[in-house]
Amino acid sequence: MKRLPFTLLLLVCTELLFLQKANAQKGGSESTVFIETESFSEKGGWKIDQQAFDVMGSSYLLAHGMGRPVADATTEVIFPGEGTYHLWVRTKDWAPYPKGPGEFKVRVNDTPLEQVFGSSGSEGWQWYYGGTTKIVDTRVKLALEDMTGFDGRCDALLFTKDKNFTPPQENDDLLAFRKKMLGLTDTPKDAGHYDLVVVGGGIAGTCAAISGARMGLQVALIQNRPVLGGNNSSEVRVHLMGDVDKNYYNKLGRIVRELDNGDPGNGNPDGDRYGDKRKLSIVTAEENISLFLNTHVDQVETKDNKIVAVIGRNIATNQEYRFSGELFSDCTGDGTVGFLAGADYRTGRESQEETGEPLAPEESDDFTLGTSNLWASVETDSVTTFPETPWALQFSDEYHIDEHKADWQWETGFGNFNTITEAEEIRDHNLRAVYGNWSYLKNEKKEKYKNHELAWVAYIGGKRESRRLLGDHILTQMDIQDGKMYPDATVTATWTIDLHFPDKENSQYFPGEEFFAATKHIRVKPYTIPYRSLYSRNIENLFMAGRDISTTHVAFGSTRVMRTCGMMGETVGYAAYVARKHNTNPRGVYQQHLDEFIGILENPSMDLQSQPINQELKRENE
Amino acid sequence: MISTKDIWPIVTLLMLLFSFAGKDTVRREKAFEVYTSDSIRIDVELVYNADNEPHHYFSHVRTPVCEDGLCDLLVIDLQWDLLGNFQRYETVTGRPLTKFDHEPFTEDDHLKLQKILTDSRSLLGENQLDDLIDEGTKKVSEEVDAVTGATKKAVQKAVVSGAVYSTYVLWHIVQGEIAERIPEHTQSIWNEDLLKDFLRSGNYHYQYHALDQLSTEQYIDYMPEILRMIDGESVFVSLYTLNHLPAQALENEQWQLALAQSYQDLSYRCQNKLLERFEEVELGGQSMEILTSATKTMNESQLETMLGLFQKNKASLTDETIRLLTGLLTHDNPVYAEKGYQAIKAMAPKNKAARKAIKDYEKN
Repeated sequence: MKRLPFTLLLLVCTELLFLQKANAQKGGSESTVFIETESFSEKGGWKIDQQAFDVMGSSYLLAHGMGRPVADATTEVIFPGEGTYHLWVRTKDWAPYPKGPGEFKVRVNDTPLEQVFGSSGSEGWQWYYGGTTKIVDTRVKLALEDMTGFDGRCDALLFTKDKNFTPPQENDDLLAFRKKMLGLTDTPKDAGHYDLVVVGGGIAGTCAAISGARMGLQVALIQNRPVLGGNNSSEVRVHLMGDVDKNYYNKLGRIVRELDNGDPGNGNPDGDRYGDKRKLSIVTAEENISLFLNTHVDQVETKDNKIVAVIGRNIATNQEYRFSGELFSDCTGDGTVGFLAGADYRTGRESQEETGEPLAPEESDDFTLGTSNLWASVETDSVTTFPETPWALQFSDEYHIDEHKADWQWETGFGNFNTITEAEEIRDHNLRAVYGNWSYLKNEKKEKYKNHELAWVAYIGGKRESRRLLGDHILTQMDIQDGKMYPDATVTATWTIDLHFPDKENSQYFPGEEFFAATKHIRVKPYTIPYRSLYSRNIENLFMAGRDISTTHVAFGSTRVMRTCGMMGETVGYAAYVARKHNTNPRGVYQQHLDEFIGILENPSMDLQSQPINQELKRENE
Repeated sequence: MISTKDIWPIVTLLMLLFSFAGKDTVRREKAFEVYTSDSIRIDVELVYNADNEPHHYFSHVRTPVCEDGLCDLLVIDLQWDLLGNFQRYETVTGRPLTKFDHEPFTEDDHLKLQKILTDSRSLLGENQLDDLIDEGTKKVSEEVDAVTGATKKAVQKAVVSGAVYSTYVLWHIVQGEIAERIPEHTQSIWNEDLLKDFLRSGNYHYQYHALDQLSTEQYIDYMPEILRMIDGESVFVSLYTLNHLPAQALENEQWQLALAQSYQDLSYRCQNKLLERFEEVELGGQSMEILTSATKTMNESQLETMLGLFQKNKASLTDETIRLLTGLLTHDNPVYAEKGYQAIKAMAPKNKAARKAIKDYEKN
């Protein structure tokens, strides 16, 4: 069996061991203490951010206060002994233009150390020296004190008695150092064996898990945030699009309807309207679903082109879990599971020569649709202020966005940034646009905006496009516009071919740094997505549902909306059931059991628990 | 003999005219005329201010607006700046703007109309009148025996609800031929006074226009005005100005120094642009000294550019510059200290203090 380590990308480092009220780990020296900030026992107003996990190998704490300092994050740590310790802080200046606003201090036993972190002028993550502190009692209270509310961030703290010790700055060295210090286990906790392991708890993944579970499968649903719903959760606030009432198989879409909490539009200031609780309660009511929130999958075990298990780490505690299974579904959006398993995938735009699509560019390139960090202000009874933000994008009377809230156009990416490797930079660029524009409106257009206050700015980016995992069929523009009806037709999609590009005026003022999009909707008639686009062509037991299914870039422009993605999830759940029933793989369902599978799409029974196959499957799992 | 009764309407009219044109406009003359597609003549006037300088263009418009065969007379006063950018409109007494079934415009309708008319890139420019109306959805008038189509959803933001025809007709008047002819007329009266006014105006349209007219010699002549624009409120005007500065202005000792002195007050993008432009020329000792004093507030990439400028201009570095530069070696940010160290070492300075700073750094 081959265990694939997480080998992604430029900055590779693993996690520091979580040390809370426990014995401090001893590392390079006998008296060194590491603390992962996301493991602080009290987060205060700081947020856990795991969006750069695939790059950093770690989560971190973020002081997202929209310009108002957030409450301290605190924890207690047991030091190995008394004495004078040197402090190192791993952080970055997220907006070094030229100096960023993310300033914070470290407090030891309620005494703030002199050094201010987060505004160094250097954009990369690195260790900064923080001076010395004298430890008398080995039970030490630590705190992160945010000074501005403008997204300061801290990955880890290190205390050492060795004044000559410098923590490794290079990624590979840091990775080895952390492993040595903290002994990240090679045998993570066993989280169980499942018929279907669904990675990603957005609309597609949640629907896949519910659909499979209702067919009697034992399902693990793994989500790397504390809420379900992904782009439709209160953390991102994108509304559900695509129709569910024009389906060829008109019983698809039932689960999507259950999750649908009504349409609050994009970026509604009232987060409750996106129905996090509804989604969670529907999933927790399913006894066949084991739900793992706050768990980011970053490793995959494979054997003979099949996935044996995925390994995820809790984004707060750093505990690792192993999920073994028969079938897996990549509903991560980024295609993370497929990527780690070696699935064929594609990013960017195909050329016209390659696909024959009239809407494809002449040359292939890395262009992708961007990521949105939506925001909203609300009207208040009194006049409110917002500071000048010289580190943000600068606006003037000549060009600014004269709106009190965001909609889908607030978008960064477009090939200027990689949506996976530069997810943090994309979010930060969005924040610079939001804060800079809002500062302009509040300070220069007071008459209109004096009584408005920023109510919400998303710190979790709503991604549109990353990898597309390739299946036995790659859906194209011609499939869509010719309305091709393949024998394995499943989900009916209705959204236009909606390919965003930078708004022309925005490009004029921020060339290469665009944050505002435009689009042209190419109308389509309702068309169907073949089942063969929903499983990997080279990883035998891997399904996909959501924005990472097998399409061209152009076709993706239409399939990517969330009600459509949800129905893909429903379909995958049914296909997984057929695959388990006949002990076959996703391709086997297409080749040998297509009629049965289509029969289920036509009339899925929502209560198959009493059927022999399900009892049999249940016994097998037990 | 003229009675008081006869005078009041004249006084009222004069007051209206002056209130619209601004209190400091005194003279007006016909600039040109245009004809609408309905062959209605519109006269456009150039209005001068109290100093007898061209101030804006004005037109009193009377045009029929016809909707499904029903016509209404639209009477309105319009104002453009000297480059044809629409500025504002004012209704005429007794002729309020109305919507479907003569419902008067609300305050919000006026605000929306002002916004639409100012938008030269409105969807209205790309669409025919028929494209805006959904003939499938009819509204029945309660006042006249007629029906009208509802506004198509896609263009609802681009028109005042219930006043699609008026919005469309007005937009094409303010953004059509008149907007094209005004810059031509202004060009026909263009002179040094106007150039100066434009540069000093604070109106970015005027400033861009004036910058585009400047010869290299004029750039030098107008450097005080240019510096004010670089240091001004608008980041975009500042960037444009820095981008278009001729090399002669950057090489000129006096203006180079003034530009270096402005560095700290510039926005980030403009700071970068200025450093980029300074890479094109040789910098004097004083300019380098001023820029070096700013290194503490520079970010990493700016520091990189700055270290390149040290290399390029090392012959002109003063002792004070070297002293300031060695300050980097004790910078809080280890990356800065290391970069500073590498740069100073590569220069092999004879300055004693600098050599000592290098040794101290190496020891630590």
